[in-house]
Amino acid sequence: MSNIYTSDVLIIGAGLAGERIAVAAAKEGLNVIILSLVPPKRSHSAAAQGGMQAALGNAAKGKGDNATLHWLDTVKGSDWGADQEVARIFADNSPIAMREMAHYGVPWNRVKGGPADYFIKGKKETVEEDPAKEGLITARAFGGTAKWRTCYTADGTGHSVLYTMDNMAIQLGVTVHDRMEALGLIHADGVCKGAVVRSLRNGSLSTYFARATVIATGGYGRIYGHSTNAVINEGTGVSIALETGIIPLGNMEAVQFHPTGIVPTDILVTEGCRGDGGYLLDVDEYRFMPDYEPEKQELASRDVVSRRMKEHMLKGKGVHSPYGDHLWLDLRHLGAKHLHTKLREVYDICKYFIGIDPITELVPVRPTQHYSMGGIRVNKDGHVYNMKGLFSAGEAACWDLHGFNRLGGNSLAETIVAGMVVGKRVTAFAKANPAEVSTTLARQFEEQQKKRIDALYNGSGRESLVEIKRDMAKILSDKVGIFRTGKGLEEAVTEFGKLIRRTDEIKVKSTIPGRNMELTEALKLKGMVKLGFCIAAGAEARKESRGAHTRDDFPARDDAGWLNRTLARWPEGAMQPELSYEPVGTIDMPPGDRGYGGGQMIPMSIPVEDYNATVDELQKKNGKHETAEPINTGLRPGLWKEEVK
Amino acid sequence: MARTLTFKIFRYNPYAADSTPFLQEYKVEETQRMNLFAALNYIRDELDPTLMFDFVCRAGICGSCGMLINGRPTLACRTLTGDLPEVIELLPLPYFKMLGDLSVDTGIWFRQMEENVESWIHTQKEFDPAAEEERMNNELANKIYESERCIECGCCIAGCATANVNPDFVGAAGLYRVGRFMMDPRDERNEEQWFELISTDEGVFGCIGMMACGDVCPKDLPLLEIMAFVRRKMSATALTK
Amino acid sequence: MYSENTELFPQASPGGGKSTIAGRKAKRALWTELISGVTGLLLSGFIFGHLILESLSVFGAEAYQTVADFMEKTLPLAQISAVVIPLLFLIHFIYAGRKIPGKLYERKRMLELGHSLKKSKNRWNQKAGEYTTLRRHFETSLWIWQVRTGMLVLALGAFHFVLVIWNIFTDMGINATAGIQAGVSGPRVESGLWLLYLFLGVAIVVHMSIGLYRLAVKWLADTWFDRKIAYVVFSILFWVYLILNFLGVAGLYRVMNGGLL
Ligand SMILES: Cc1cc2nc3c(=O)[nH]c(=O)nc-3n(C[C@H](O)[C@H](O)[C@H](O)COP(=O)(O)OP(=O)(O)OC[C@H]3O[C@@H](n4cnc5c(N)ncnc54)[C@H](O)[C@@H]3O)c2cc1C
Ligand code: HEM
Ligand code: HEM
Ligand code: SF4
Ligand code: F3S
Ligand code: FES
Repeated sequence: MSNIYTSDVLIIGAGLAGERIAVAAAKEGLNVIILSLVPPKRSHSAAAQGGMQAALGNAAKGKGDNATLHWLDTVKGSDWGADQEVARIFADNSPIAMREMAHYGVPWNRVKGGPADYFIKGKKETVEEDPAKEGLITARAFGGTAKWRTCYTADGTGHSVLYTMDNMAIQLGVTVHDRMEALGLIHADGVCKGAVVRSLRNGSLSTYFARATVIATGGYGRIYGHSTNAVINEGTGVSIALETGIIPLGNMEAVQFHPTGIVPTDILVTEGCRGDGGYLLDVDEYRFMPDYEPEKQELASRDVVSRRMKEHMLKGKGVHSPYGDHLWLDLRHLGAKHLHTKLREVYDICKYFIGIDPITELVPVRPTQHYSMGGIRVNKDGHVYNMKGLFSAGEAACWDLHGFNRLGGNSLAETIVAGMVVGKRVTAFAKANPAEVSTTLARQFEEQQKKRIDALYNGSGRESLVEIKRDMAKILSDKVGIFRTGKGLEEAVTEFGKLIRRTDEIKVKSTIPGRNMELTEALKLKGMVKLGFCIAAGAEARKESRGAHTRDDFPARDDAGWLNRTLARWPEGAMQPELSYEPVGTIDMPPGDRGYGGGQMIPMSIPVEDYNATVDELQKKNGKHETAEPINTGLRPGLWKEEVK
Repeated sequence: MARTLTFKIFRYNPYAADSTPFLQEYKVEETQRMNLFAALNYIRDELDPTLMFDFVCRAGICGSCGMLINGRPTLACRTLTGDLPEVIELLPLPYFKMLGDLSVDTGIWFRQMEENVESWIHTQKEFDPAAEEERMNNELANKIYESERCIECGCCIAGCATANVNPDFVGAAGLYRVGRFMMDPRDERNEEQWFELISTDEGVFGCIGMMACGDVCPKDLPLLEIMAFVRRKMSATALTK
Repeated sequence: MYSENTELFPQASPGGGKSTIAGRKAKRALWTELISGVTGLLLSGFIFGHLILESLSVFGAEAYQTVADFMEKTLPLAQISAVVIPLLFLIHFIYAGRKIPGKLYERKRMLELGHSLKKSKNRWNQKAGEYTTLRRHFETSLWIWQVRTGMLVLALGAFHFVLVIWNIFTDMGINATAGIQAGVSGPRVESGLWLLYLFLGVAIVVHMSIGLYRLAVKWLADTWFDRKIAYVVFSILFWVYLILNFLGVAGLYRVMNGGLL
């Protein structure tokens, strides 16, 4: 048998969430191993440029900001799909997390007292920054927030914070095993003991045992084929949880799209393009947005613009290209000066990656998958439902402060806040529970993976990996994309039913030793298809429109019938996911108008108090663990009422 | 447009006992706005599933995809085929441990370097969650950020003849990292500690001044400038005390 | 005998303070660098003057003799140089030459890398515009040329020293008196040494220009005297001195026949 490693805490995923937890545990003297597909600093957290939200209230435009306002924006942004208690924990801790990052070395941009010029909605405005705040962490504006509260380091927030975090991990002597892929969890009787891991250097299998295991593997946007996510964001971490059969995934149908991913590379270009006055054009170079949204035009919210773009392309107005249909983003009228200064980063991306000069040429764009609100369902401690000793945080988890729509800047902040909060719980758990290394279990779970590998090498099927992947991406993008119809979703569910059978027929052609990238991909594919299936099934079942989940046959947000969270399990041997629902969590602020995005609403049919009374009980039924602090202790009921005015 | 590109790609699998290095040829029809990320994926999906290479962000941010493209170490995801002639030769980055074909182990090297230069803020202060953050001048914050922009792609190391023959040399990326902490007031290391750390043959005086680092860095970082600064600062420290 | 200053157990040094092994090691590296740079700089200074003065031979024997006498008799500059320059030469050779990799495969690796980088320019399409134009890189190859020319200078220069120093202090058993004289230098250059001087001259000009360029970049790249300016300045210096060298050798060749002019 191959290597067995043991540690107090095993963390799968070295993005911001994983590393923050590693630091928390290592600081307490625990022995930590992190696994990652790539060297930690290459994790996709490094790609986030915008910033992280925290109600510090130092910038002039953030004056008077506080945690309650941040909480309010977050809950509204989630279209009331969030767990309000978790959102509270998040908003309360975010400022501390930012300051802590400053202490560890992040060079946050700071307030500079005196008059400052900003571009606000395309117009230049001079704002007086408070000299008393000179040198404190400043903030910039992001969509859906009442105040400027997004902390940033120039155009590389994710990079800076991830580097700082990784440096901390190195300082604390955290062991990193990079180029390692977790293929399965080792668990028995609802307790997680560790993971089976395959080396992406030489293809060998190892087993890892720990007192506490954490999944922090980030998003899984790559199942959509076209995504702003890194190519490693394929969701293995989430699918190995699903694979246990007992762990539910939360709100998988909640998927965020960004209107302007460039074609063909799907790299994100910032919302600032439209903010500063860029237009969207169709195949006839006609500006179509005013026809759909006469009021807001290109500046409607992310989901609305994405939906309209898709709609327009479905009418045949897209530009055909070898990479599929797209539309144009017109920045030419903004002028060279503007593109060289304020939108320099956009200019660079266009030049470097598609060889286009946005000063004289049109930029090809289309709505692109961007963020996965759903993930492994955890309680407010980050403890995974139904599985003791397994935790999850970051984009991989459904801690659920994002509900059905996450706000820009909240996810990066979530990684380190969750890392801080969940890190404490993980540490406590690891200290309280003994390590168990069982060679029998190791053998048993390793054998499972070996069998899978054998089957892929020696199977009789002749399905092609690449084709299944392509078909899956097509179903998801066309039918479970931005714009969902009842018919499309039904078709998607049926097609996934077929697709899942095809995954058993894959045969790996190349048998080279070492990492064998074809095998690596093949090992993940079934899990990816399962995640896609969960998304499609969840979306098909949810007969309402909420946040990013928009159906034309059920355009209203239905708080009477659907103020809940979808949970998807995949029982052993099943050919499709099993859906159930739990309440979103204790409600402090009752559902209401978001103040943007329009849309109809069907109000709650029972009083909030009655709803709240059942929350704990129903969630426990679904497998929630006891939390370190009992339910409701996080909320400060009614406080928001004062702030709303 | 519509060229047929010939890729000559280095093939070698260190885990296969019978593998010997050779250049394999692939023909690919060039498409509009094609970059090497698209081209290599096309080759793997359609022509040869055994080809190994690394991409992560495919957006020039993560530093995974450094390779020798027609003789030059740079990021593949950011290279358009349109900027290359019809024959494109791809080799892995020299110097780093080879993992197979175009894939090399830069991660281990950088972690080692970071342990060597102790790439973290050295401070005695404890974080106080209740206190306001320490103030910092915004210009300084921006300067520190600028000096933190290295993405650890390894191009400057692979392109440096000195590093290629002196495995202990921390390289331009290492010195750049040191520069980042040197200018950060939160780091309490004193001049003597800095001196011992990098005024060595493995540090700044190991650099002969080949200048390739500055020329190939895909992030256009002012590597030579930082090294000149560190050199003078180190000499001043030693000569005045 | 065990001494606290021993270098035998570097792992046993806790670090902190310059008196430690780490500190001493660092200090040694610094001095090595300073010495090779400073000696290179001083030698370059000498060559500046030397080649200018030698090239005065284009004005004929008289001019040449005046300079020679001035350097030897009026001021004992030639005698001083005869002592100081070989010393610097030796020190520079020891300290700067230390950087030349010892193993053949190492040298080959450097050579190949330099070649690859230099050639890459022609292997990319150069389109107009700041993004697609690669910065060309040949400095790695230049270093290799610096080493090569350094070796040449070592061999030819040493021979040259012996000859002229012997000449300055003795009559060499064949001349009328000790000292540099047009009547001696001329025939000896004409009879074949011109070839040696041509090689030596080109080698030294190449070596010196690259060396100074590199020195400037290594120490001053972040000041106003940045790499771009250094490149221009030392390119000019290179051509000027190359011409001076040709003039000097040609002048010496014809010094007894009234020089070039
Ligand atoms: C282009 C882009 C821009 C963004 N900008 C912003 C922004 O401005 N503000 C904001 O708040 N959010 C932003 N986001 C979202 C945010 O960046 C992510 O949600 C967040 O970084 C996720 O962090 P993470 O730690 O959960 O995961 P990641 O950083 O993705 O890390 C995942 C880790 O898991 C490892 N891993 C995965 N699978 C396995 C496995 N099977 N075995 C072992 N290891 C594994 C990977 O190697 C990696 O180390 C952006 C996202 C994108 C795509
Ligand atoms: C004995 C023959 C010589 C040899 C073998 C030699 C070798 C070298 C080498 C290898 C270097 C590079 C060292 C480094 O970059 O750190 C160097 C640098 C240099 N040499 Fe020489 N050299 C010789 C003679 C000379 C002479 C006669 C001059 C004067 C003109 C000279 C001027 C320089 C200069 C200016 C530098 C740059 C120093 C630096 O970069 O640190 N060298 N030499
Ligand atoms: C010790 C100090 C030196 C003295 C006294 C000296 C003297 C002379 C003399 C007398 C000549 C005329 C030719 C002859 O008589 O043979 C000459 C020529 C020359 N010397 Fe030297 N030399 C010295 C050091 C050097 C050094 C260190 C170099 C370079 C490495 C050098 C390079 C040359 C060259 C290239 C010429 C040919 C003339 C020319 O190119 O202009 N000399 N030197
Ligand atoms: S300094 Fe530049 S070339 Fe070197 S590793 Fe960093 S980004 Fe890459
Ligand atoms: S290429 Fe190498 S030798 Fe120095 S100037 Fe750059 S580190
Ligand atoms: S893939 Fe991240 S830099 Fe190229």
